[in-house]
Amino acid sequence: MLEIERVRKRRAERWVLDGVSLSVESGVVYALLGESGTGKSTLLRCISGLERIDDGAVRVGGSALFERGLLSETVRRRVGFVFQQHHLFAHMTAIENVMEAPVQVAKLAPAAARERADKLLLQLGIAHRRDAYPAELSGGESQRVAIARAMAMEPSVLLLDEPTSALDPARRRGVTELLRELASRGTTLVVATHDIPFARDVASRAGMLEAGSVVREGTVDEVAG
Amino acid sequence: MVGRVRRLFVLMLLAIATLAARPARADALSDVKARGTLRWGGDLQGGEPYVSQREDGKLVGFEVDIANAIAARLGVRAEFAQNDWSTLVASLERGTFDIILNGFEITSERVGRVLFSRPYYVFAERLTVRKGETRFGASLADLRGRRVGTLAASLAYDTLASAGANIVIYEGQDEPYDDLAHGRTDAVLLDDIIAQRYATRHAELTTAGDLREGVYAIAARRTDGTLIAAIDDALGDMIRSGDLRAILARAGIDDAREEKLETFGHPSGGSRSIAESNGVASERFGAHHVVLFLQGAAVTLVVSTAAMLIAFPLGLLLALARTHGPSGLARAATTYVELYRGTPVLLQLYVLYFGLAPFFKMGPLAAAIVGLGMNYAAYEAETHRAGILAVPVGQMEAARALGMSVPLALRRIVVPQSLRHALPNVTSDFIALLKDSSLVSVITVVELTKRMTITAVDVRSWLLPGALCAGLYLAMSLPLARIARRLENA
Repeated sequence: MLEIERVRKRRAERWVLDGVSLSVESGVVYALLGESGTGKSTLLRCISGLERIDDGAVRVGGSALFERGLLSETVRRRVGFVFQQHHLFAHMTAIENVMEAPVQVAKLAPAAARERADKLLLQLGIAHRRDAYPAELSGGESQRVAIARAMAMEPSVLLLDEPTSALDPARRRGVTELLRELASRGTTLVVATHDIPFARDVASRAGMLEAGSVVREGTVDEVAG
Repeated sequence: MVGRVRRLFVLMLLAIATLAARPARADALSDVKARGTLRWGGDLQGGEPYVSQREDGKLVGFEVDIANAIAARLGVRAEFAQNDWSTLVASLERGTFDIILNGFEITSERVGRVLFSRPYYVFAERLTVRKGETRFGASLADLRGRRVGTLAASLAYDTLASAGANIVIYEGQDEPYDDLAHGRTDAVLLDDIIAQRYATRHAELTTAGDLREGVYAIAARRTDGTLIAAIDDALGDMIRSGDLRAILARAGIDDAREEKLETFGHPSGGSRSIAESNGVASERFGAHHVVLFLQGAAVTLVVSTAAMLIAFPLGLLLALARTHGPSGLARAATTYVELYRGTPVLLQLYVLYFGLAPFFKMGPLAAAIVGLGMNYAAYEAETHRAGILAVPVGQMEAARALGMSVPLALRRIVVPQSLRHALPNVTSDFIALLKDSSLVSVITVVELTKRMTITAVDVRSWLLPGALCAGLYLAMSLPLARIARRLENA
């Protein structure tokens, strides 16, 4: 469960986020809609702790991400982030990318981390690319590795920034199924997108961001229509 | 590759041969008179009482007075030419000045290469030790295996070499006594004039004894017999009239030994016999020189490698402090980089070895490694910084989003990638370091280049020592250049 309360974020004398409030239940895919520059990416970056918020609160499963302006690392670990550009670690193979955080951050034994990573890569249908380097992966493959990497930390909230931007229609269908599958197992998903057809397929709820605040909430059709 | 090395060699030999073969003019004496100046070469670093510069820029010293007196007798004006002491002969031969007049001792090696005038000063090789020294006495035989400081290409150096001493070579006259006082050497053997001026500044030093005598004389090119004859006449006149002794007395260096100046007979025959009485045999470039060169190359390689082992990690830390450190640390790192890049490495080596000696004593090799390492760390810091900045910001953000701390993300994600960007440049820097390591000879480390200059003086030629020296540097740097290229393509 993710709760966002009156979050404000100022950048260069301008409120990029100006009192955003929304809450997403576990197992729900929430589509964050809006034109470019309305603050979708900034909101995701704030929820993942990459940027501080200037006011308001972000809570994951009831625990605050920021306490008196300080980032709580334990709360942050429950939030996964799949970047639009994926940002796979360029010097590591696919499976090493997925194993890295479980071993280094969660202190899992390498063997256990490898087992977990193998399982995720298999679920995501890219087990055969486990030893490929990011430069050798296609856009779709690299996105799946990025999702596997985020999921390997077993987050309760998974954020995805424009997940369909680099995909052909067939791949888009695959991502839709994948995200619904993740949600059905209890993960809270927030998907920032301006791809309305995709949002309609994947999300049961949506919010429209305009000028730094949520102006409408409801189903994708209600919000986008 | 082999073809390129061969071409380089040929070019280099041609360059050296051109320099060596430059013809001297027909008659230097008439040139001097036509020009109206007698240009005399010396090194101000030799300092008092030879030739030094006063605060107002005026040159002073007994050799200035001698030069002026000789020039006056030739009917011309004396003009000083500053030149590094170790390359005086080479500069004389290429025509930078007409004569050498700078504590230049007559030795049999030099007699074969230059024309000497009659002597203008008789000095003693003075052995200086720390007070209370009981391990050895004031004899050449006692110096075998001892660490004894002296100046390169001096008569004292030859004396020590034939006595089998462990010679420590300095470029200035104060430093040998400084190091002796600090316990870095066992003794110093240098001309009594130098000892009088510099050893006496150290209360803990004392004279053990005078081991032998030598003479200073004026040197001209081998072809300039008329010039040296005119100078001999002038000196003879100065000796007979008492002018020379008066000049020496004014400088406070006149003594009973100078009586002998009158008896030193005819210049050319006389100086040859003086040289032979000094007993230093001239050398030929041979197998033992090759061994010494290989040792010099080993020193160069050890100093460079060890310095890079300091510079590489220290540079990485400095770069990380600048890119990811708190502002205070970043400022400190920037200051370090600017300070070490903005001042000469020669100065840094001096400060580290001589300047800080009262506070902590470091051996010359250690000081050379630390000094070069700290200097190159500034350059490596910039190389690493460029490498770190070349890693996309998204890599750090992805690591942070996975819950990695900044230090962990740097160690696991950013630095392994930045090293790939930095490594080709680091390799190039290492080649530069190989060559810059020749600077450490100022703190008495004899590496390849120093070995070359010493040998060139010993064997009276730059050709073979120069070619061998260059060949050894190339043998070290070409494989590195190849590695750098391979890394760039990787």
